[in-house]
Amino acid sequence: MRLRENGMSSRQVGGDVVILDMENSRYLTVGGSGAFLFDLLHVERDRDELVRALCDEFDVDEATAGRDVDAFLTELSSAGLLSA
Amino acid sequence: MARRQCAEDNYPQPLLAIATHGLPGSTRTWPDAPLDDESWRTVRRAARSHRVTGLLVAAVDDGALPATAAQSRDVRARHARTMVRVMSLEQELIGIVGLLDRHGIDHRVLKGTAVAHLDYADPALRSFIDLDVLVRGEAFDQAVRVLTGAGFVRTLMEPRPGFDRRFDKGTTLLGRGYELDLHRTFVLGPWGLLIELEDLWRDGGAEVVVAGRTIRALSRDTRFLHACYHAALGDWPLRLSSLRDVAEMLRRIGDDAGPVRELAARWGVEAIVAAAVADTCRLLGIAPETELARWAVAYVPSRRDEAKLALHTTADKTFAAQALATLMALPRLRDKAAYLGALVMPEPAYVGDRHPSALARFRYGIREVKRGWASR
Repeated sequence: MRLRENGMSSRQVGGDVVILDMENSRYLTVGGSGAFLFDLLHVERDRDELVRALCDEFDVDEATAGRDVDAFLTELSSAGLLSA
Repeated sequence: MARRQCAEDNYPQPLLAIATHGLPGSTRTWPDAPLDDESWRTVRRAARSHRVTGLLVAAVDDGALPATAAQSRDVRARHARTMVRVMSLEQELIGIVGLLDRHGIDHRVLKGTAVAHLDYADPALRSFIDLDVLVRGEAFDQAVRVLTGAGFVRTLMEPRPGFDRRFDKGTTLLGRGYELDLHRTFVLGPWGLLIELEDLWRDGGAEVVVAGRTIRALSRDTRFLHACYHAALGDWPLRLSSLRDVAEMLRRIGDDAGPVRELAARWGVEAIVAAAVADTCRLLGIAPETELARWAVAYVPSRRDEAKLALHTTADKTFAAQALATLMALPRLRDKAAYLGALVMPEPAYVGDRHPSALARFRYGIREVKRGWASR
């Protein structure tokens, strides 16, 4: 999975990511581990890669990282920000 | 007459330091405690006006500029809104270049988007408020027709049909809440006439990916010359984001300045490059360590070039003063006649856009001719 490219832009502002979704005419801000995961998703990744990266970056156990990744991916998917 | 220099006291402290944040070797100094509220507001507003809010956020986040928690939240929130606007403009730009592509109109994206993505380590450091696109002179009228057909509206009519294509920098079009500057050259006036326009199209340009779409910008050397034009001639006092653009490009050029120097010499615009680079070094506090920077700092412009630069180093520069200088710089009598004829006897729609009456236009013209004559 990876982020959708068309009709979407993002910028880092401090530690957050500001996302503009032109297809749905809205913008949102992602911070903390979400900003970290968002940055990784500019290229194709699978869930396990994201979990491992989150464990390494934030020093959390795999179960916690897995829950965070799943929740974040669900949010991105329901917002239509992942490529089909 | 020496070249008029932009004084440091045009910028509230510590704006110059903010504009240098992250640049190696800058000697600008930072305050050692957070600014009081009034100073903070002054600096924040100036940072916005000079389009260096991204650098202000970065300086606060890195601890270079001490700030209270409230100041930090304040500037982050404002910059986030600026970035939403910037990204929205970029999406509009993708639509514009797609439209030009569909009509076979060759183009190059200038300034904001191109520079932010190609010359800065992080595009969020460079904000902008409008769009700039260059098209070939021979395709200029077609580009205007295509864009107005798509809903863009000219801000000013041409004095005579074909005037923009032959003599002007280009034209400004209003889109949905933003301005699109459609260029055929970099700048109005004598400095614009010196550009060998074919040089801007000689190579394939540089590719930049914006929101998943590849668009074309000027190549490194012509992009640098354009940045110098914009820094030296664009705003007075000099806009700090324009100087920072020059500084970023200087880092990339390093000691490979031969092609840039050769191009500037061939066009006869070394005075612009030298002024832009020397002012960047002086105001951003960068030691002139590269060959290009050393040359720029030592460069002495001719009296004629000093006079042409002086058309721009003033806060109240106007179209008429530059128009007179353009008239004198046009090489052929036929062009001078066509240019003068268009300005002296323009179409009524052009006059109506600019002046409320014929008398007002006459008075304005006399005043500006005096100014233009004085700056010869």
